[in-house]
Amino acid sequence: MRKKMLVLPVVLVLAVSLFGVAYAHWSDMVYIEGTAEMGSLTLAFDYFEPPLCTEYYRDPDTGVLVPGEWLGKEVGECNAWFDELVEDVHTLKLGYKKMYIMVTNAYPQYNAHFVFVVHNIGTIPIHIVDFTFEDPTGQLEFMWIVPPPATPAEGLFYKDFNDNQVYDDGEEIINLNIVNFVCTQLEPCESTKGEIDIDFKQPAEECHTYTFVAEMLGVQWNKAYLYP
Amino acid sequence: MFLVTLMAASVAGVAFAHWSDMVYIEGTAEMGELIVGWLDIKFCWDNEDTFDPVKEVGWVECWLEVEETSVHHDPPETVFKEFYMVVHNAYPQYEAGCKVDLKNAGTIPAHIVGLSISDPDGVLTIEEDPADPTHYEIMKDVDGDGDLEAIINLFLYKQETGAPLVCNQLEPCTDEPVDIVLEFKQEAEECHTYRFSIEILAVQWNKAYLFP
Repeated sequence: MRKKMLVLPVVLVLAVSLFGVAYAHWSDMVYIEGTAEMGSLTLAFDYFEPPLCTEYYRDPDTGVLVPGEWLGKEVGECNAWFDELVEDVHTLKLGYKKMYIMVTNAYPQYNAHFVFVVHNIGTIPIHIVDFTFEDPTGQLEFMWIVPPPATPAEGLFYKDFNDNQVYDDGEEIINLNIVNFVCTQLEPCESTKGEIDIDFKQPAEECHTYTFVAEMLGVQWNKAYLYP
Repeated sequence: MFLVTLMAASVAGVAFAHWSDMVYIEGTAEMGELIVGWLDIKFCWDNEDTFDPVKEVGWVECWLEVEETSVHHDPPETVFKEFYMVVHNAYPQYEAGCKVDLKNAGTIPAHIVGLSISDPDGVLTIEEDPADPTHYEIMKDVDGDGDLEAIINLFLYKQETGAPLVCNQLEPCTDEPVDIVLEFKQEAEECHTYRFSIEILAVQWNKAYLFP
């Protein structure tokens, strides 16, 4: 019985060989090891240089902007600061995602200029393609008078007092001038300094609080053509 | 006793002495060898010169490792078993590729019978495009909605004809220029590192029928 058990595998192999079945073959393998390390696209307000606010009034005789308020008084006040610290994981550079600007006790013809720096803290070039403004409370509407990429671009917040869905003379509340952002390209590590100038107009209402939100959109530079 | 037996046998006609001769067979089997490997990298490229403006943002590194030298050829033929391709600082719409030579450095014709792509980290799903056997989609559920999004398009094909690598036969001492191309899609995530491994299996040409 034991002999039969030993002979059986040999008989099987011989039988299979007779039918032309082959089990062994030479083979070889080559390998490709691929790694794709993605970059980062991070547009931020500058970590090192805080935003700066300067008050002006326009000299009625010359039209020239003069620092401070009319007759040297301290009436209105402007302030700006950054918030929401971020760190780019590639470059380990820091920046802020939000800038707050605050004007208190404002009055018509009060001018506040905000200067700030935006910084590409990522690793991919950024093309700034859009700058949008809106009033989250819905009481003001925004329209461009001179749209970007002209610089300064000029915009206007107005209040539709007569509810006719369009801007009419006498409805302007805040004039905005925006300097040096749209169509600017920032290489990694590069920054640019820009400016938003606010000018309160005569129809601005007493004791009101006006709020607006601005969004600056930067895209990877090679997709800027999608935003003509 | 021995002498008596010998004499008795002689009387009966039995002869013990005889002429004899011998022939010999000396058998030698010199086996061939089956070595398929990467011969060299011609060059790597990216598509940043097609963007406006032209920039240098991403870049590609390629190198070969694990030498294997054929003992049959004179001078010896050396190829590499592993080809590494690393794309740095990639971003959507970025494309990078390498032109490499795959060589049969052995003495037996090799038939490429299989190609498998996998993610050593286990986070990616890789699928062959049924409409294009040179195209593989590297996918991931980026937004967590249960659906896979294509993040990288991988192309692997013969440079001369654009045909897929599998089902090709490489004669000994013959090389096959190969293109490997990566296209990064919009869904690719920032600051992520994606890895993939490709295994190309070649067998002796007369056993290719085992891999239908």
